[in-house]
Amino acid sequence: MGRYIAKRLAVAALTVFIILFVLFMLLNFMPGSPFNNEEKMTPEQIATLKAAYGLDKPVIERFFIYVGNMLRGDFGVSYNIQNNMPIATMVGSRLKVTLGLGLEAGILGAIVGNLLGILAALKRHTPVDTVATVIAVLGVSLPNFVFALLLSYFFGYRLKLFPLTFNPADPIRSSVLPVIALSMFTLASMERYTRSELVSIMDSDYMMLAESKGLPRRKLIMRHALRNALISLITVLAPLLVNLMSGSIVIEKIFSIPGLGTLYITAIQSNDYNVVLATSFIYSVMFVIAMLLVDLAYGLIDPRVRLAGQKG
Amino acid sequence: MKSPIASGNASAASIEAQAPRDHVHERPVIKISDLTISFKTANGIVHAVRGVNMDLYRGQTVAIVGESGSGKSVSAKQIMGIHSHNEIYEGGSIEFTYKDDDGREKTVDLTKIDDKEMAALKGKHVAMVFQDPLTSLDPTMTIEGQLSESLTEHMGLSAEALHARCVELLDLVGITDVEARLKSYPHQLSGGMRQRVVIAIALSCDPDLLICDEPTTALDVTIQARILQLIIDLQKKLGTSVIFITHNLGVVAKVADYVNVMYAGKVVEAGTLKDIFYDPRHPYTWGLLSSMPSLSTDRSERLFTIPGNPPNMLNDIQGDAFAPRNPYALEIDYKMEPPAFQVNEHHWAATWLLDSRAPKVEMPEQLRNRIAGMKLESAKLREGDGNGD
Repeated sequence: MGRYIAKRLAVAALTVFIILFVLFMLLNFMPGSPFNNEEKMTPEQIATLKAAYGLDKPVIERFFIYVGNMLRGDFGVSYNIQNNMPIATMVGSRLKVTLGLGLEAGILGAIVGNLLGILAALKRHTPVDTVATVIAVLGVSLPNFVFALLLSYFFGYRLKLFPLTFNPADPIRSSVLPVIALSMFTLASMERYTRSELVSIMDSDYMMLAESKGLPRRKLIMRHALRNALISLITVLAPLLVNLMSGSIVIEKIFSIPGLGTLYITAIQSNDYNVVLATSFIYSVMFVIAMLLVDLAYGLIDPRVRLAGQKG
Repeated sequence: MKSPIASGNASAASIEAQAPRDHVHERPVIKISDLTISFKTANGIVHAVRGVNMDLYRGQTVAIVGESGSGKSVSAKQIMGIHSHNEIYEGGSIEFTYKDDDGREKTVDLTKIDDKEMAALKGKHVAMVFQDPLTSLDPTMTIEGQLSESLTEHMGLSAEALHARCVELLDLVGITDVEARLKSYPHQLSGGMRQRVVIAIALSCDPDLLICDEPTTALDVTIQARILQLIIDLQKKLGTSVIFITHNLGVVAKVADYVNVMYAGKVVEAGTLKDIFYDPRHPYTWGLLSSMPSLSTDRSERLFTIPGNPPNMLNDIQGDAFAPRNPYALEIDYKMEPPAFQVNEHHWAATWLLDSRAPKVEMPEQLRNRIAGMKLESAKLREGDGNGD
């Protein structure tokens, strides 16, 4: 297991480095510059600004300077959004909001989706199954901003149960609607996977053998079916987490939540290089960490992965 | 469903009377009567089991032989209470006699009891060995975990006694390095080893009845013989009654005391091993025996195959299901189902050829020669055994 973890960690670190390099290069090739808006600047003035920010150096050198600074927690400064504000400070509080939102939506979607899936699989071909299937189809096929708008219309505008936009004074009540809207895709996908996985496991040979031991149904499902279903569910959890993060960009915009997503959009619109680079990099790192956690959990649960490489 | 035993027919004896002599006063462990099972499918109702009758006495092995789709596995799964969701129980009974905790004999009809009562029997009094050992163990659980499940469920052993029993069981099925194996996961064991574990699981509570559903089919040929021998040895040692499902007549000859030949959801001939191999009466059994390759089969010689295909079980079958493939079929075969004709006390066959009014038909010449050869071989083997040491 130790070797498995070390290998995964090394791969993750390498992935992060490559992502950073690619992002840095892509931004470098992008047309325009942070100083585009100032039409009246003379070429001399632009050159001075560039020199001040170190933009006159060759791109590879700049990349390594950037990596070096980053390792010390310095992501550079914002050019346009808030002049010369360190990005680390800018991102810090927003990252917490986005992570909280994603985590809540992920947990809600995974748990509710799982329960619905189990219920549908156990009550196969009954109305319960049909209802769960309808929820799953809607959740997968409708984009989450549709849910966001529906929820804010009914529960925010009509019933006035929850605020329409994010209210920093009341963070819990204001995050109910965004969390539900964001969780719908995870919930629906989880439901579908859990159901199909459980259905095929229930028909498997090892379930037949376990059944032939005379175990009560509860133990059959808890001990054999769910544990095996979990293995494949963890693999689908990774892309779902990714989806949660990109989904939160839209949801944050709709509910005007002061998260990473809103900052990301503003940064792109105002051509603020360093902020775009830092936020895209943070998103990527979150993906990589999610994948890493999934891989590790996978190894923990499936003995075939955990014991790989050991003598059998 | 009409009983296949036509009453009032002089030469057709009742199946009741065909109980082997030494068992007349004994209750069979399993007595299946007129069991009829269908399946609802998208294409219609499949009549998988059409009135099966079968007896199994304590300490004996009965083989069920037949082609794929003849209903042998479905019948066995009924005994285990394993039902699929589209299954329809149409009638019949499965009387199961077992010794309860106080050693008293108890008889229940397995088709009448509920899931809870069935769960109390499963794993404890009746157990099953499945076809594919590679898929029949839970990949996420250690061997010890899987081995101790039915023991904990039915016996309530202490942790120490449980472990001791697990060690004993793996020993019993010939697994070495037991402590390490108990901690292993299925994927760390070979196919043969896994089947030994499955057998150990089945035997863990010392069941009255063991059902083996083609337990060697998915294994390597070399491993097949060893697993087969293990089952035979354990059966002798523990005195368990065994139902052995297979399509391999060579396996039947090795393990069985009694043989039931199944065709299209029915038992068409039943008897002792000797009856079926040396004195087969049903044309389908003739076909099966003729199509079995033997050591003396010439390589240039084509193996015998039974012409045609098994009937489509979606259709209602008129008369004898085997008639269209039977070169000896009589006119009546297409119209009326043949009853069970008694050949001797434990041997019967459901074919009109045994009716007193039927023309006399002998088994094919080639098969007769073959049987003579088999008899000679086994006589030689016995002689060899006698001069053994």
